[in-house]
Amino acid sequence: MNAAADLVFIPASEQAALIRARKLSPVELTDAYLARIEALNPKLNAFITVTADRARADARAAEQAITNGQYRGPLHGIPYAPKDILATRGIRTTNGSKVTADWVPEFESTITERLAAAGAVLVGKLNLLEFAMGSGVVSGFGPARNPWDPARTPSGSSSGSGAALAAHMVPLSIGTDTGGSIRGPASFCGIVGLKQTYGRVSRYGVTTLAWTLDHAGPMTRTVADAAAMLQVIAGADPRDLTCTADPVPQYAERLTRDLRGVRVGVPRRHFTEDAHPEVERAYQAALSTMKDLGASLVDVDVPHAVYATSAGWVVAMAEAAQFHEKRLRETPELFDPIVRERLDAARFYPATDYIKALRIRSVLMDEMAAVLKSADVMVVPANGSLPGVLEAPEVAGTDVKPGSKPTAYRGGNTFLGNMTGLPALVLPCGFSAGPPRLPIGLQIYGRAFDEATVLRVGHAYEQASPWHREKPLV
Amino acid sequence: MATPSDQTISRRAILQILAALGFTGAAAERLAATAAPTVSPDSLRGAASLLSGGFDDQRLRVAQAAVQRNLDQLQAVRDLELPDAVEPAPAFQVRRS
Repeated sequence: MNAAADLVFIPASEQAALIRARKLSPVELTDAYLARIEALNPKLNAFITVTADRARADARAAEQAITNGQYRGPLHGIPYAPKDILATRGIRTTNGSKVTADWVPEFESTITERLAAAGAVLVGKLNLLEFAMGSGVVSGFGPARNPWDPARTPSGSSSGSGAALAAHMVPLSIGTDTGGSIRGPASFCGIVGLKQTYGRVSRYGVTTLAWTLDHAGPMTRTVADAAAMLQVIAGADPRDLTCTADPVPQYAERLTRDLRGVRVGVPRRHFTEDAHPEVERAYQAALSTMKDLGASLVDVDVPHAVYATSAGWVVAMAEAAQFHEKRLRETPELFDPIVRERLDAARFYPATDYIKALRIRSVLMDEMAAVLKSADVMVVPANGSLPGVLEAPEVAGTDVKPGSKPTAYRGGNTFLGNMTGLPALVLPCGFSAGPPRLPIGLQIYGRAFDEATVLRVGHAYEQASPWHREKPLV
Repeated sequence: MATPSDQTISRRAILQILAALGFTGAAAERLAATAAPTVSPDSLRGAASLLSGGFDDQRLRVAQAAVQRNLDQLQAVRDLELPDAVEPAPAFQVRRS
């Protein structure tokens, strides 16, 4: 492999240092990623749209500005690609759906606007599950595939973001997360995903799934890169009334290599029930590493955690059914069958169930507030399972799987973050023995608007572990 | 004539019986989940007539299967007893001008 191609394996923070020192050209870097996208996208289907011409033009502009002494910061000249659910002015924004396959927005999302202002170079738009809630198999653009085993799912709904980062097709991405759609792909693809506090980052220009649960946040290869991205996209936005004016700290300054003085909350029930044995082993090993780094482990309990996903599902689907009501009435045949099934079913949810789910949300918020009084963070597995094989279309098109049984409790460790709005970071903490070797993710929950501590804990663990340096064979 | 839902013992009643026998928590909840009522296409057709927008027979069949599948989950949410003081999470905020 030649030196230009090797550029894609360097973390964005190191690429940025080279660019700032004028030892690396943004044009050369962008070309290296575009070549890799061209080589791998037919196999992984991570990108829906590649904006090569615009990317090269933006990279040339970045290079010129830096040469002129106008360096804008650690994202200047660094390629990135958002999930194709963020509106980009003049660039097709499909939402992963045939329903909006030809939509070309006349406005720009706040996130992509801020990334452009920071000098980041948009190289394309990434695949996703339809409207962030479909199968990804029979929806608009087919499934993105997991670089660790292309027969397997990268998880969703930010499937293309997870796949593209794991395969080094892009160093930075933006995903969205309504029940775990940043953190699921981060776990299954062995990369970093941050769902920051609700209100920390503007959702203006991000197509809605569920108003009260939606977040859009960084997906990267390292925790330091996630911190750099959050630094740029965080902060008040009058176009999103949920976006707060809380001060945005300097995240990079808070990253340390030790965890002295940090209290790590460890729940002894709910979060590891039914977990794959290799997930459990990796989780326990990660806790041990954190202890070695100086953290103290404290027992915590979230008594109603088992309700987070079931109640969250009611909230998400009820809000989504309302958001899509007109499209569902006018063009039902264009929807992914599983999206239509879920939205149709949600129209029969009584309003009282929705309100009850919101009351459960209050309970969960109180319980997590109590947890985060006795601990600075709470650490749990990102996901109890390993990436599964991509389903066949006839199976992927419905939740009513042949032979499967309904359950009162939808599993999962991520919906708690959306129901409480608290920040949660996922990063790799191991691999299954294989073959195939598949990534395992760790999840760090923190206090509201305290992403700095969450990032600190994640960074210290990452630097003490080898997992983020692993590369898939694609 | 009794309908299937009339014949089904309620989930809440099962939970109370299990609690009296000393079974509580998630295991009892899972056991009680077997007491979910049955949704018929006709009952859903009646409900659909109250909603705007039409459901043809095919969509109604798919929705019926999905609603049936979700009932256990909805019932778990319904069965959780909460103190009256617990308010819904998103607070209504008066817009200042």
